[in-house]
Order: sequence, then C-alpha cells, then structure tokens
Amino acid sequence: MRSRPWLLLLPGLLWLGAFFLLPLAIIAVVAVADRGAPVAWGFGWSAFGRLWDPLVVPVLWRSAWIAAAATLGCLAIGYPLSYFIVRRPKRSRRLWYFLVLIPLAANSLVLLYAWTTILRPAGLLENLAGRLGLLPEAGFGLLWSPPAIIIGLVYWYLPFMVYPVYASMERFDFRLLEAAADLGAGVRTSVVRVLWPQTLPGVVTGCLLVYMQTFCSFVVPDLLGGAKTLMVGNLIQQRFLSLPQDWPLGAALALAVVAALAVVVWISMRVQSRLEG
Amino acid sequence: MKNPHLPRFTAAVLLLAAGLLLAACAGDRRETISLFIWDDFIDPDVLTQFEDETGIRVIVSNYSSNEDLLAKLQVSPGQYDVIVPSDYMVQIMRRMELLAPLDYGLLTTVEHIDERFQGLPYDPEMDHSVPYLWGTTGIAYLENVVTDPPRTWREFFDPDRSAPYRGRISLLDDSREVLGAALMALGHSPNSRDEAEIRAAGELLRAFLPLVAKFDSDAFEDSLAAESTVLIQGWSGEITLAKDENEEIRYLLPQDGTVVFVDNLAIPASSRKIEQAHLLIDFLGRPEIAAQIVEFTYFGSANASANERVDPEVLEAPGLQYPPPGVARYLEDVEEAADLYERVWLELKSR
Amino acid sequence: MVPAVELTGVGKELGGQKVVRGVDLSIREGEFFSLLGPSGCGKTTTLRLIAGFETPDEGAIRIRGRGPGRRPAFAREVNLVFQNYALFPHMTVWANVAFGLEMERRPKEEIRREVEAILALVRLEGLEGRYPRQLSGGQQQRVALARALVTDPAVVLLDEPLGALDLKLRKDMQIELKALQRRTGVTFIYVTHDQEEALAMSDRIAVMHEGRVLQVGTPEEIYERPQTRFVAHFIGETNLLEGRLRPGGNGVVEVESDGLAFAVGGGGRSSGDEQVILTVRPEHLVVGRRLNGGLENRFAGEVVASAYHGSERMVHVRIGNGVVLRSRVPNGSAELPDPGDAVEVGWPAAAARLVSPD
Ligand SMILES: Nc1ncnc2c1ncn2[C@@H]1O[C@H](COP(=O)(O)OP(=O)(O)OP(=O)(O)O)[C@@H](O)[C@H]1O
Ligand SMILES: [Mg+2]
Repeated sequence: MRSRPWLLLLPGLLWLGAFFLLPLAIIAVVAVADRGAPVAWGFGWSAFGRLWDPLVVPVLWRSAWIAAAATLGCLAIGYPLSYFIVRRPKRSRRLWYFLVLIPLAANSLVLLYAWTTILRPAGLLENLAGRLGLLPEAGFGLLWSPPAIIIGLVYWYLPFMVYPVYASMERFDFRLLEAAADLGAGVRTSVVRVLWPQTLPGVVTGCLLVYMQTFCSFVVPDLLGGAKTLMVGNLIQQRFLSLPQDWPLGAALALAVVAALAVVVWISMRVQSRLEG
Repeated sequence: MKNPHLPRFTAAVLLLAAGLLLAACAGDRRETISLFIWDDFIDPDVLTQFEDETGIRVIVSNYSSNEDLLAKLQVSPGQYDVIVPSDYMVQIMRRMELLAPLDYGLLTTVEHIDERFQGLPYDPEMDHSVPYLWGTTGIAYLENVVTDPPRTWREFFDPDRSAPYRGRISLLDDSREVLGAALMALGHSPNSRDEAEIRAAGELLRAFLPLVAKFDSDAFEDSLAAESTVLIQGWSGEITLAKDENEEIRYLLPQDGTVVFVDNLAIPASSRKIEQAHLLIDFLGRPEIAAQIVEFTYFGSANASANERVDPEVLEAPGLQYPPPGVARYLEDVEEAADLYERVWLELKSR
Repeated sequence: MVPAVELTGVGKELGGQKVVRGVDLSIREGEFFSLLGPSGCGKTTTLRLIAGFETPDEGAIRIRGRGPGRRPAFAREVNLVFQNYALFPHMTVWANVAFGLEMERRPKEEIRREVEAILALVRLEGLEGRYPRQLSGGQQQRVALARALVTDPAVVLLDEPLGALDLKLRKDMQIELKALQRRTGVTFIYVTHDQEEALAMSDRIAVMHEGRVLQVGTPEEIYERPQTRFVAHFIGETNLLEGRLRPGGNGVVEVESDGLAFAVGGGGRSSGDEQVILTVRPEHLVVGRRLNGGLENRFAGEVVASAYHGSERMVHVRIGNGVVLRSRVPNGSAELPDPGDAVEVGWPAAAARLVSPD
C-alpha cells in the first residue's frame, strides 16, 4: 500500500490558506491598488510611501511601548499567578485555571465596560479610595488615559500569558527547587536561577501572544483610552472606515505591522531554540 | 443619527447574527427585506405592523457610524435593501453612485415631509433619499456642577472658561463634528474648505485638548448620566433619553451654530428588492407610524403631519427643538478638503 | 563523640497517615548508614525530615548535636542526592556542580579549584561542558554526587541513587560509591529497598517497616541475628517456623510445632511458654539420603522441588508436619536429590534463632 503523506497535510494547508494566506493576499492587493471609492484597480507603491508620515511614526512608537507595558504587566501578574495555580493540589488546580480563563469566555466588551465603571471619575475605585482617605483631590484621572489602556489590555490578554506559562510550569520538576534550596539557594535565587530559565520558553510564547495582540488592539484604546491615544489598530481601522477612506494606506499599514511582528516572532523563535539548545 | 449604544464590534457581531438569521430564513417562503439602520432608531412594533399588513418580513441590522455603513455597503453589495444615511453621507453616496433613484409613483406619503427638510443641499430634489428623523448636535451638561454653562461653541472651547471641568469634558469621536464645532466657534462655516480656517480650528482644539477626557460617540450620554463627565458635546436624541437616568442633565443649542443632522431613508443601488424597499419607506412615512417612531426614539420626525399626533410633552423636550433661524447648520460633503480634515484630526490625536 | 545525625522519637504524618513513627537513630560521623525497607515504608520521608524539607510532628532531629531551630534546608550541613538526581537541566555539568559553592559566595578561584577536584574524584573530567541530557545514567549519577559533595557537607543523603541504573552498572557504582565515601570520610545516609546492596555497602543498616525502625545493626548482625520475623524474612531468604516454646537442657530451647520439636541454640528472644517464631537460613540446612550424626535437628522428608540458581540449587523438602523447608545446596556437591526422593534434612541448633512476631 502506498501512503500519501501530503494528504494528511491538506487540511492544515487549506486552513492556512483560507484563514491566513488568502486574507493576507487580499490585503497585499489592496495595498498596491489605487485609492478610489474605496479602491480602484491599479498598481503602485504610493501607499507604502505614505507610511513614512511624521504622524504615523509616533503612533507606531506609542503602540510599541503600550504593548510592551501591557506585556510586562501580564507577565508580572501572570507568572506568579501561574506559579500559584500550579502549586495547588491537582483537583483545585483545574478550577483556578478556569477562573483565569473566564475573561476569554465571557463577553470581553461587557467586562471592559465594567472596568470603565471601576476606573471612571467618581467610579468604584475613587469611591473606595475616598472612603479610605487615599483619594487625591483631583481624583486619579485613570480612565481615558494610557494607564487605563494598559490596565484594560493586561486584564483582557492575561489568559494568553497564563496559558503557556502555566503549561511550562506544569512540566517543570519542582524537586529542582528543593535541590536548589538544599544547596543553599534562597527562594528568590531558586526562582531566578532554576524556575525562570526553565519556564522561559513558556514566557517567550506568552509575551509573544500578548504583544502581538496588544500591539494591534483598537477596542481597548477606544473604550478605556477615550480615543485620545491612537494606536496602530485604530489607525488601520480609521483608514478603512472613516472618511476620507484610504484603503491602500490601511492595507499597507496592516502589512507593515504583520512584517514587524513577523520579525519579532522570528527573533523570539531564535531565542527559544537557543534556550532549548 | 449616530445613536450607537453599542460600538462597532458588537454591531459586527449583530450583523453576523443577522446574517445567520437570514440564512436560517432562506427556507421560509415569506418575503423578506433587509433594513440597515442606526441602533435604537426604529420602534420594532412598527415593523411588526408592516409585516402584518404586507406579509413582508423586515430583517434589521445596525451600524454605529455613517462610515461603518459605507464600508459595509461597499464590502457586501446586495445585502441591504433600505439604509438610513445622514445628510452628508447621502451626498457622498450619491457621488459614488451607490444609491438607487426613488420612484415617486410608489411613494405616496412624501407630501407630509416638513418644508424645512425639503430642498436640502445634499439631495435638493430628493432624488435618492427621503428625510426620516432629525436631531441636533449641542452642548449637554450637569446643572448641579456646571452653574454657568457655555451658550456658544466659542465659550465652550475657551480653555479658561472650561478649566474647572478639566478631565470631565467629552467630545464626539467624529472629525467633522468636532472640527465643525471649532470652526463655528471661530465664526466660520462647519463646511469650510479653507486650509487656514481648518488649521486654525485644529489649533483651537489643540489648546483645548488637555481639558478633554475622551472622544466618544458611542456612550457619551452614559458617562454624563453617571457623572463621570459633566460638560459634553452630544447628540440630541441620546441626551433626551439620558435625562430619565439623571435629572441634572441639561441640553442647549449653541447660538454660534448648531449642526442639524437629518437621517434619510434610501435604497442602495445594489438592492434586488427595490419595489419592496419602496413599500417600507412609504409605510414609515405614514403620519401615525412616524409619530410612534418619534415617541420611541426622541428624535424629531421630518414628517410634518406626524408631529400633530405626538404627545406635546415629548415635543417640548429641548432635544426636539429646531434651532432658531440663522443658527441651524448642515454638514456637507467637503470633497477634496476631507483629506485635510482627517489630517488635522489625526495630528490632534497622535500628538 | 557527638553523632553526625541523631533522631529521637521522630514521627511524621502525611495525608492523614502516620508515615514515620517513633524513629530513634544515631548515625556516627563518617559512617555509611543505610535505611532499608520495602517500597512505601517511609525511607524517603525520613530522609526528607533529616534534609529539612519536612518538619517532624513529634521528636527531634539533631545534626552534629545541633537542633534545626528555624533554619531552612540549606542551612543544615546536609546535602541530598535525589531519587532521580534532580540535576538542573539548563545548566552544564560544571554549573550544576558549582551551584552550591556559588550559593555560599565562595571566591571564583576557589570554586574553580573545588569543582575541578570533585569532578576528578567522581571521574567526570572532560564532561564539564555537557548538559545533563547529554550524559548516561551513571554519569548523571556522578554529577549528582559531585554536586552534593562539593560543599563539603557533614552528611550526604542518598535516596536510591542507583535505582535507575542497570544491574551491571549498579554493581560497579556500588563499589565506586563505597570507595568514594571511604576516601572523603563524609557520613552517608543511603536509602535503598535492595537488601543485597545495603548488605554489600553499609557499615550499619536500619531496617524499616511501616514507618518504624525494626532493627539497627551491622550487615552481619542484621543477616545473622535478625530480631523480628520481618527482618529475617526481608533480608535474604529464610525458613520460618511457628511454635510453642518448651524449655530444654544445657542452653538449648525446644520449639514444638505440629508435633515436631526443634532445637534452638542461636539465642534470640524467649520468655517462657509462648508462641514463638524460629528462623533458620537455607544455607544452614543440609539435605541427604542419610545424614551423619551431630545435628541437633534432623527430620525425614520428601523433596518436592529443586530449582537451579547457577552456583547453587534451592531444594524444597516437605517434612512430617507438612511444612516445606528450603535448603541451599552448592552446585558440585556429591549428592543432588531429585523431586520425589526420600531424604533427610537437618541443621545445627546454633543455626536457628528465635525472632519476635513484630
Ligand atoms: N506528601 C505526601 N502526602 C501523603 N502521603 C505521602 C506523602 N509522601 C509520602 N506519602 C506516603 O507515605 C508513605 C511513605 O512514603 P515514602 O516516600 O517515605 O516511602 P519510601 O520508603 O521512600 O518508598 P519508595 O521505596 O517507594 O521510594 C507512602 O505510603 C506514601 O504514599
Ligand atoms: Mg522513596
């Protein structure tokens, strides 16, 4: 009997084609088309030229640092959280894990609105702080500011950090921490020198997942940032939706983001393969 | 216009659900047409009446901005049979030839259209659109906080005057509305195509921006009702509705220019059910039906005969007042100047 | 001299189960001490108590005369070699071994010297740059040892360190480990469930069963003079006979069992008329068609089985009361009875001992 290994690959290839390559190809075609209503047949690179707009660059830069801050926030919360969960007894571990995943299951938009009621002026947070006598006179001014965007992004994308980090910790042999303690390492040293390096692949994957998604987010900056702080996702969305439309520029921006993120993925894959030796 | 309690994302989900519903109904022999309309912009009961009378079922889906409407129409031609673009969008869609000409042999109720809404510049002969509801863009505030409210855009955008409300002010997330208000504050037309004037409006806003909490067209009335914001630029219908939640809310029409928007019933050129679409538009023009819609939406009807049937108390709401002569302005398609508006807007937001 | 490790009345409960109960041990400086017992008897737990990973519910543990106080595991002069080595997989051999020294903040130069010396001692020179996964089981074992030894601890605890190795390698490593312990003079506490290994390597052995220490002694004492039925049964092979004690003449007691009388001269427990258990090792039993005189115990029986074991043969003989006795007969001896043969089986009274029923 002759085997047809490529047949096994077919579903994967179809999936890749339908959900990744095809949309990407459409975007690429739009990017080189002419600006029209909304696009006209034609060919030219002018949309890419318009990328080097002094207005676009700061938006890209801001997206980069907000995404970086959100990724760090997810890591700072997600790493200890994963550790906490993985050290629970087997049975309660599942429960904790699903609790963390809830934001994914529930309607995230509703949850983001909940955050606005917490962070807004005279909202829950300020009420609470006021009762504790901790409220500055001018309020925190948290909502509709970059910190609110970061808080929202951390909340929304935390599961994407916890998932791979938790998985890597579940594979970790916790006797290694005892071994380190036995040899004289304190808690911090054991975590830094033993747990962290061994869960690093999970950390890299988590950071990547969070960074890529937060970089392109547009709902959170709109809702929690008060639409004052444009991120590249907003810019792309605007170029497609708001007038005057410029689909080629939107598409070129999207391609540039995909390319930039591809570079990030490539670097982290290099890092990861180096880690795994 | 622009009454989205739900933002775009949810609108897209609803759209998808509507699409699935449409597919599910494919087996249904009853005739259907698809109405693409602002959120909360029609009383569902009206559609039931229409179905009872004609046997045509109306499938409703929502959008939350004119731009959204345009993009969806461009991406899925043939999907929608009746749409409700605002004034300037009618102009744009006419320019893009996206609208089907109306057949007045099929529209018997147009005689009720208020004279004020006839011969408007975006479609003077009503070739492609019939005015449906109208509203205004004005200034809303909390009376208990803002004791001396700005009566004009000039006062509104005066940083010194508005300084006490720093961080509690919101503007619409709409370049034409915001720049338009700034232009009027400077004494220009909200449809100015003059680069110097538009840039000056941008400068005015730049100076004002530190006081602004957010740009929001989706939930500005909720924030005001919750007292997170206290002084805002907003649309009349939402503000009027929000008064039920917070009695301190007041609405006024700026005396140096109040944008009046008219949302119009129109038929996409790509529709395959032009005749049935006319039936619906005609039905919505019946005075008793139009009156029912006013009482549901708190927007003013373009139908003169309808207002006689509306509860007088509703008609007295500030949100339903038409600006005095010389104050009303309409937003128009600014054509090639649109790029400049967008540019100034972007500079403001990417600062 | 102060014992290296001393446990007095140590008890520990885990998961609602008394895993270690009333353990008293005194381990001398420089000793190779084994904890021997079947799987699940509490050996690892005892070791973890000594290492400080667990705290005893009752009793006390002293290392070189000092109690643990509130000091954590690392502050004790005790290093543990884990059951599966627990080497740091992301570190080279060198980094693994140097880890403990770095934790003690020793100078760089000293670390280099110590690591080199210990790697030479465990014969791992040239493998410094390898990662654990690039090493054989025996090599990993030696890295674990080096890592535990390099900080010069008072005591090294080893939890079944050879369990994962194949038989041949295990034998070699037994010798090597023992030699290493001799050379370094470090106290080893060695956990195993392999009695041969314990007998071959240890200075002294503690036999554990169900959380208790049943007997502590040198390998000879444990093997030759077991004090309980469990120890006798668990260490090597033995014949066990239950009966009632009957006083006999000149230092010999007799045990009556199912109408037969057995003479016991090897000592052990006896306290009047009571149920007793006697044990006699198969190698002390002689089998033949007709035995010479001089054996206090001699019975007629029938061979029921005979199993070949290479250098010897295990002959099973059923005697009068239906009891089957096993005798170890070296191969090459003149008479080798076959199953079904009528034979005599016998042993000297001195070879039999009384043990307590636990
Ligand atoms: N953390 C724990 N929680 C509950 N029970 C435990 C725990 N650790 C060990 N036990 C139980 O305690 C008993 C003794 O365990 P221990 O690991 O000390 O045995 P051991 O003698 O080392 O066995 P092995 O030779 O199989 O390694 C076992 O019955 C085990 O199931
Ligand atoms: Mg064990």
